[in-house]
Formats: sequence, structure tokens, C-alpha cells
Amino acid sequence: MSLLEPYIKKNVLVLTYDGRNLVGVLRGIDQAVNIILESCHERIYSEEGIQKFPLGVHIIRGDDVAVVGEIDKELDDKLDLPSIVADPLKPIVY
Amino acid sequence: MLFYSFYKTLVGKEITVELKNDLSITGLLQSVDQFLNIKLKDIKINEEQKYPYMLSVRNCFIRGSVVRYVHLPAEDVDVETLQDHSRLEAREQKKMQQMQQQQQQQSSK
Repeated sequence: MSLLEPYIKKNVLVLTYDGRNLVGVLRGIDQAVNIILESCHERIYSEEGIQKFPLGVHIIRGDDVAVVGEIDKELDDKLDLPSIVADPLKPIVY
Repeated sequence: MLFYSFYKTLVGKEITVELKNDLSITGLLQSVDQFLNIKLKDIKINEEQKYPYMLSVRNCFIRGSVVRYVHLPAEDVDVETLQDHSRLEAREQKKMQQMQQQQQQQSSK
């Protein structure tokens, strides 16, 4: 029984080891936290606010996953992405 | 398995998880598994202005391998039980080692 099972078919945010932010529908998982994302896009943080970059279906190897967050639609709709300015997330360092 | 059991006694408590990318997430501990992956409920990011990456997230899953520190509420940690269990586990490990040594000696004779 995996902790991620309740998130299946829901919209999720995945933070990766190299600091990328991927958003998509969680379609599959396994015990090593390998992840399948459907209709996903990357949210790129820069000085001009957040830009969306469409990616389609992605499989992410479990070793590269840092955090998986369940996206709350209400909160997400309230966000004005282009107005949020931040540095890109730092990669994971040991 | 000691830490897995230990975390299970803290389910429902508020903890702060500091990740290896300097992100700090505070939330209620929902569950843990054998890899010490952590699930948090009603999360808040510390220094939200600087790290706005998870503004639309309420519940999240953190992979055990990215955790640098976990800040625990001191009043919820039962130090005595933890010490007892640590000693117990150390004793069992020692016993296992001795058994293995004996087996090796017997097989080399």
C-alpha cells in the first residue's frame, strides 16, 4: 500500500531533484516512487513571473522525485501565475 | 525499523520538514512508510515569499531521501521509551552478530 495511491487521477505538483516544477494528472506510481504524469506542464520560475511549458505525458524516475503535492483547485485558481516572481528552486544537494 | 515506529507515534502532530533544497515545510504528519517517506496535511512553507512553489498545495508527499532535518515538538517525544527501544535493538543486533561469528567459526573447522 503506497502513500501516493490516494493522489492517483488527481492534479499534482512534482518537485524534482534538479529543481523543476511539473504539474499534471497522476496516472501511475510504484514502490520506488516512479511516476507517470498525464497532460503535464512545467512551471518555470523567472523574473517575468511563472511561465508554463506544455510537456504531455511524462514518466519520472523515482530517484528524481523530491516532493509530490496534491493541487487544491480552489487555491490554484486564485494564483496569478505571471505576477509571481521567484528564483528557480534550488536542486537537491547532499 | 526503529525510526519508522518512532514516526508512527507522532502521527497527527505538527512537524517541520527541512529538505535538501533548503525548502522548509510545516504540516500535520499524516503517515509514514518503511522508506521514511512522509505525508503532510495542511502544509505551510516557511519563507513563503522566497519559496512560492507550493502555494496551491495543501497535502503533500515527501520522499524520504530528500529530507535533511525533521523538527519535532519536544513535548511529544517520549525520550525514555526511545532509549529503551534503542537499547533493545542494539542488544538484538549484537546477538545476531555473535551468532553469525559462531556459525563462521563452525564452518571453518
